[in-house]
Amino acid sequence: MTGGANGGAASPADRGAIVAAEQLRRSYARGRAAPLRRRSGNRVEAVRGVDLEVLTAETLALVGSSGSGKSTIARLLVGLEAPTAGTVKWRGRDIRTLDRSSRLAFRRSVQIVFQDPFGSLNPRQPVGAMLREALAFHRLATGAAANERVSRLMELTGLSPRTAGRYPHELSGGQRQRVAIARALSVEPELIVADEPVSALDVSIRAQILNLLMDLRERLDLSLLLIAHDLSVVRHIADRTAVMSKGRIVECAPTARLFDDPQHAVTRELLASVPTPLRRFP
Amino acid sequence: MSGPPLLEIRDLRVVFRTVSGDAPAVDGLSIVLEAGEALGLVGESGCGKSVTALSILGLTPRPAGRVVDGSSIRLRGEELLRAGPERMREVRGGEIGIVFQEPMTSLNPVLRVGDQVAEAVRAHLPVGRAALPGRVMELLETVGLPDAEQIARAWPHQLSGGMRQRVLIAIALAGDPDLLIADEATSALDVTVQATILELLDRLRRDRSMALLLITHDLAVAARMTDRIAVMYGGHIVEEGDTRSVLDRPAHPYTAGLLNSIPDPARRGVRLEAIPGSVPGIGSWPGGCTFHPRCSRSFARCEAESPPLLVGPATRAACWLLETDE
Repeated sequence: MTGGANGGAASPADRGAIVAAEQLRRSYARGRAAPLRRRSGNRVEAVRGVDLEVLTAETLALVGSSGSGKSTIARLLVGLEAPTAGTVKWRGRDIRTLDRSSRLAFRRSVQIVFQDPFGSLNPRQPVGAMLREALAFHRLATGAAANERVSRLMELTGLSPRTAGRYPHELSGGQRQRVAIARALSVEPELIVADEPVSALDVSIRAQILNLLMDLRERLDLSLLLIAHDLSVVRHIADRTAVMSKGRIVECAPTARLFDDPQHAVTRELLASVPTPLRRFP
Repeated sequence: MSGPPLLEIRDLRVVFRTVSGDAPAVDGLSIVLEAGEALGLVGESGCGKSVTALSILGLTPRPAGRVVDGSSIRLRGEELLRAGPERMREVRGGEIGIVFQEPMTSLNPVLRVGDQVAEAVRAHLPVGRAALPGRVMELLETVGLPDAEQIARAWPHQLSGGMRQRVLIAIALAGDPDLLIADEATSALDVTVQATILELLDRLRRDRSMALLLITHDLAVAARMTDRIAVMYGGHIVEEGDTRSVLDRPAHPYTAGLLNSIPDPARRGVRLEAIPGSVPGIGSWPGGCTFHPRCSRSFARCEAESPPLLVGPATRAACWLLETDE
């Protein structure tokens, strides 16, 4: 089934993957033995054979309990870590075989936003300088043109122009996360990997950042890989959801179907653990 | 039936010393908790929830923080703010148990788990040396730890976050408290682990007819666990009522805003009705109603005067709208 002959919405295969994991594995050397935990040799397998595609302009959520391997997948997909086995493909090409210029293009195409906006921003760099640095590195703009781009980015992410002169410690948690998102957007990526982007934020700020992410993906045709443990958030914004357990993806389905008709026991347990939805009974 | 309530906080004010003078962290908070009752104290970071918990236990950070004269915290009628250090040591872990958020840092890393539980038992109950190990095992079993003997011999780092939190609950129960304060006790845990710990707290509370003061930022957690909810903003209660009423018919725009911030399964992909702005930091609380700069329904009076708790349709809320509506 190639081509768009069937007239409806493009099937996933038609839309093409931005990044794809193929039989991805990642293990880490184990520290001092933990007697009460199960042992399997002297390595911990964080990711144990994962296949996953992030398609153009889709929001894919990765959920699972802590230690299930979600964040490791995020780091592998953006190339922050190398897999022990398997490949990460960007636009169909193994990221290990990219030449220098393609590698730069890959780095630009796939950006990451971390959970803790304080830990991921340089404390000694004002926000504006941070954004200009990203632009200069990818040779996108310098001088007046860069300043122009910076103001547009701040506007896009709902930051006041004054924020450009501020240091991270002068900002609130929500503002810092906006800066982290602005920095990711500055190089016009195709995909943003967001690892728990709202879980460190206050409830009232969380909604603002979720709205921002939803706006951006619409306006910019952006793909989003959302790693989250808050299932109400996932349900709200993800097109597809993959459930991880012990380093494997145990279920992956369109979000509505996954929530309405979970197939795997892990998914069912995860859904059952969510505190009672509010105002279900009027 | 009558007699003083288990816990009664009246007009609690706690200030912190800053370079620009005393800044309020808790500003006129009043709550009443009856024996066996579960009250949820809900609010965002910086609203004063944790300082309130620390004040109840006489643990306000000093000298930076200070409880202002005129505040009152009574435990069965006894004024805790006038109690001496020895009496407070009895109260902490005795009549009042507490579980904090950080299961990683609340345990002593160089003491075996069993010794830490034993220490808490010895501090509060007349248990002889011979009976102590049995009591420790009993407590570890009460909090649902399988193979209590092995756990008792383990070091904290060998336990998962959920197991550590269970150990901390065991320690909090050691003195057989009448009131358990859980300060974001499950916020650092996975949803599945959180669910099991909440279930445990709920069961323990009912089995022991213990009162629970559940401090959380998560309305859904409070919804599941409590009889009543008190919503905090800017150092005091802005809305209070029975849990169902607060969730279904909130009268304060802040409570309504918090509820609207939670994604509604029926409205997938729709923009959330976020509360604009951010939570003001301590020392920069606005005058009048502390919420008015972020409130879409504020009017002149909100800027000028701080509203008291007024009786609303289903709850009590500190909002001038209740006087103007109808």
